Amino acid sequence: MTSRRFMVVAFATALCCVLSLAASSYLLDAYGLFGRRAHPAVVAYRGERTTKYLLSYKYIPENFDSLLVGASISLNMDTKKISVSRVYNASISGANIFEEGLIAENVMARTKLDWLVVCLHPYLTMTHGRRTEYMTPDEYWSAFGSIGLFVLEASGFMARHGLAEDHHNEFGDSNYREGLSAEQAQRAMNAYVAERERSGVPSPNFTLAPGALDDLVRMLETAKHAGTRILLVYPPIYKARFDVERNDWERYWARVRPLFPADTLVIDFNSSRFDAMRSDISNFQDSGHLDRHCADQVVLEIARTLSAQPRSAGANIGRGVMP
Amino acid sequence: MSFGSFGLTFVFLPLSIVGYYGFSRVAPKMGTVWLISASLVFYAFAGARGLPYLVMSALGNWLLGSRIASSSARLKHVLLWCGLAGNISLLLVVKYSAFFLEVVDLGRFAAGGMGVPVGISFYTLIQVMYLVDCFEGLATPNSLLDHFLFSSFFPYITMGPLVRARDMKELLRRDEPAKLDNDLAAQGLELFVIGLFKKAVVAQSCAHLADTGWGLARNLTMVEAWVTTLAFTFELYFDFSGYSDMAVGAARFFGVKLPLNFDSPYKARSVIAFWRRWHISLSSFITTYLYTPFLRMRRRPTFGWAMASTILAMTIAGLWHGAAWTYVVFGVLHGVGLVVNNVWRKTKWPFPSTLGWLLTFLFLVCTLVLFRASSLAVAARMFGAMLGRHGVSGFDQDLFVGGAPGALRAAIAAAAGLACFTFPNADRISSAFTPSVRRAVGLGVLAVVAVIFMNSLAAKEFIYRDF
Repeated sequence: MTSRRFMVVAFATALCCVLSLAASSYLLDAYGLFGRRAHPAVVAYRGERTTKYLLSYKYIPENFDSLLVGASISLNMDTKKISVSRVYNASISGANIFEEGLIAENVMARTKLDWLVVCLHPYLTMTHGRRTEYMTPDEYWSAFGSIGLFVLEASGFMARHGLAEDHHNEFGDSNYREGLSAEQAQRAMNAYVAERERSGVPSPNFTLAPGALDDLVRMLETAKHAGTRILLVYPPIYKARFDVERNDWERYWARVRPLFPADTLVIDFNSSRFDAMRSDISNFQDSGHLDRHCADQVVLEIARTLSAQPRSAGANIGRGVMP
Repeated sequence: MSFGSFGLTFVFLPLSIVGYYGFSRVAPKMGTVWLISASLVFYAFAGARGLPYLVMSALGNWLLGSRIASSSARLKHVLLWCGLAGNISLLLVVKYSAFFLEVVDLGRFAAGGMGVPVGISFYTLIQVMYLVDCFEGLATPNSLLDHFLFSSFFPYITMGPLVRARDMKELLRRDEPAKLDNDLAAQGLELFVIGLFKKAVVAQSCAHLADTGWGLARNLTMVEAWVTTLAFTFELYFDFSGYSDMAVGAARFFGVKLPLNFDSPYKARSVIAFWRRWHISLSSFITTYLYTPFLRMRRRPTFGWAMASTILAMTIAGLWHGAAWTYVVFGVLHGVGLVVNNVWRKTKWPFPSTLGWLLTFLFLVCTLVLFRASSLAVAARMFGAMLGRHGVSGFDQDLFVGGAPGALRAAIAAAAGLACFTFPNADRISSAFTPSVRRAVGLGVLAVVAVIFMNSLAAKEFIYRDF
């Protein structure tokens, strides 16, 4: 074999592999980017950041008329239970407002959303910018063949054949932490409260990262320009914890609330109306995250609030292609 | 756009090759001009603000080289010393002034913001070698065009290997059209793909583990600290040797055989052997241009003087990597390591080779902590963790490994560790190159795997790019 032929064979092999990989990725269309699948592989999220980010290009705009943004505290809110609006839960474990903004702005650039539901926890504004290497526009190309894609496809295959459990549904909800006992939650909560009482300084969660509020404002302005209404949700905080941190929470909300438009609807789950919910440790998984049952109550309250409002004209209603 | 990126692999490199041979066919000098332009574009992508330094260095050294070659013996010496002083001063001012001002507590006078021009440590040494070669009559002075190509050739401009003008003879003084050497190009392709695989697949996988450990604010357990430092040890090798393979491979497309830079360094059974196998072009520079002149400062150098010269040369070599105390200590420790190694050799006592390998490797892992740490305090904290100061067992699998992609990366890092000690290196593979269908298909598949990884992870810059 000559060196020239060697190079030709090597190039041809690489080209064939790359083309067949790209073609099969296109046909499988795991992230619903190419319109090949009405119902992308949303049943098996792996690499939540990548998946939800890529779903924001086509799948979410074409199938939903509202969006819930938040960190892990709202991750297990099953928005499928909201019937008045098709709300996609874009919450990501460990996300900040910049990353959530990337998804929200991507969706709003492609469709008119009826509601943007912001589940506001200080964790969202504690950091600024991308927290990982993911969620960049370059990631679009990973849909043509990448490790994340292969893992997603493999997980989807396993989930479809009952070989692995799937923690997500097509509305973005994840029940990833379910199964923790109330005793475990109580232990975690007691430890947290004791630590806060002992240290006497605010939790690092309350630190506002420089630039984080600008990220929030940018997302809210995009929503305002798009005519998207905003629902601000203060998630329930266990009462004993809230009482220890009351000043920090109130100071935080006082700092952030004015950034929202004046006509923003607000549900404050830390008001006295929800005391019973917040006093029951079985509603929590640990010192912060909500138990599924509690998350469902929150979702019902959101649904009640949304249904009390008139539908906005021109929202992405009835354009869904999802079965 | 750097080696290992989509831009360089699929656009810049093919365009450079096609343009070079195309223009060279029209007129050989046009090929040279094309390659200089391509190299300057490449350099501008790496750091456009460094371009004036590169041009100034190339122009100044070309003038000096030409003068040195045509001057009398006495003037030659003067010009050589002026040239050496000029090159070293440029490096000192641009790269080390802030560090030295800090040392003498005058840090407030350091001019900030500009940053160190990319590749200045490399191209300054290349120019020093050129001047010395002109002085000793080992190189014929380049024409201006050739010297610009020699000074800016994109495969080595940012991170080496350090080359001499004679290594570039195929590219310089060309007065007939360049013709693609298929044998050399096929070898180049193989080396380039191996380098790409090393960088995109292996080094990036190791980097994930290493960066996780080094980035943690909390104290590491002993297990976590060793995983972190071992991962960095492998990352550094695969990162830099991957780059070198790509650089050497890319140069072969232009008919140039750049010198070997790595020879399975982690297989070394002594510190002396390690420096003969690691960053060979730099080691060779240190020996020729630092250690030997120090040694010759005495008419009859003693063993003690030779060892002192070793420590001094290695300290400077350490500092060459960066303006920080961590690099100075790294250099001193390697100097001491070489001295201990030489003293032991002198005793002629036997030493089990496996134990030699183990001690050498442990020495490397420990000293590379200094290479990675941002300060001596951070290094001390890592050493403490490696000794079990914050607990022995305990490994946060979620953090270091995470989900399936993380597990894959961890498995690759572990396999890469083993490959370092068992596999032949890229240069050996390439020198045994015989074209076959099996080899070509294997290479194609290797390239595809590398491309998939390039498409999966945000590319991390080469570690040596900062030097």
